[in-house]
Amino acid sequence: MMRVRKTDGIIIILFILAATIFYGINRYNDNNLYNEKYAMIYSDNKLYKKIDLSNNDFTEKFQIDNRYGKNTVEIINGDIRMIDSNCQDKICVKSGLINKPGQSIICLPHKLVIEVVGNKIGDKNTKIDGVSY
Amino acid sequence: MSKNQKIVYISLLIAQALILGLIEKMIPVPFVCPGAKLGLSNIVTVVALYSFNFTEVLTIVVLRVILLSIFGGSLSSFFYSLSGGILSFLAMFILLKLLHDKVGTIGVSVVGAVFHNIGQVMIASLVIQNIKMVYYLPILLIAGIGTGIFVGLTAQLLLTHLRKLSIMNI
Repeated sequence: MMRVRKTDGIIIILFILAATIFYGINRYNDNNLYNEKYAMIYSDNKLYKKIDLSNNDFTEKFQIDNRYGKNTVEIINGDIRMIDSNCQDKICVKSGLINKPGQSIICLPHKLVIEVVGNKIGDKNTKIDGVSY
Repeated sequence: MSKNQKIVYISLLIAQALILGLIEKMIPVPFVCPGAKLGLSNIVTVVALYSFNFTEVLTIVVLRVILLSIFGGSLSSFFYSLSGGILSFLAMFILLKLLHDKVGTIGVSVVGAVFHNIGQVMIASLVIQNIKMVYYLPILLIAGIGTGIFVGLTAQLLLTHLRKLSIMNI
């Protein structure tokens, strides 16, 4: 009753390979050392706030309202997370804590993006504009 | 199958895809990824791919996307479903054209599910103008394989029974 062809297996194996390769690329990029970390929060495709995450000892909680909805963001000890949102599926809340450059929390219905960026040690080309020392 | 019979059968398929889509909205998805879905409506698309030609299956896909967003979604979900649905349909159609009988329903469904997820995430990354898609690709691929296998098995069961009806030219 169940016919599984050899090609099916090949397709599945190819996709698993692709997934592993992409996962490896992500892990390789994450392993770079960073000396500055910032959380960039974009609301409705515009930069809303930039927060320095390198400081490990402070906690802050604030709410972001835009024309799509309300989201509550919390920063604890250098990690950032979405505590609450009035969106329908709450995937953003389930995303948990992020703290490494490259990671992001996205609330798609509310067009809210929290992205962690950083400067690699020894890298003069930064992703952050307008940082003054 | 006469033209009227075809219209009725296609309408039945669209209705089934709509119901599957509505039921799917009630099931929480265990993937922490915006845009991943179970893709139950793809069961209908796969069955249709074995019974109908390009235009007819495309009609089914577009109509069920429109109906689903009217009945159970928002305007933005319409664009995600449309891009996911069309991309997965094209991928499955090309696969079937290239490999005919060498690929089974499971292979077709896995390809369909993966490309459905990719299509949705592509539009999502356009909407928020953020191209961190590479981060979600591993989860998308694995999720697509899982749901694709389930969809493929279901579609194959359906086709096995549908073949027994003489009116179907499968």
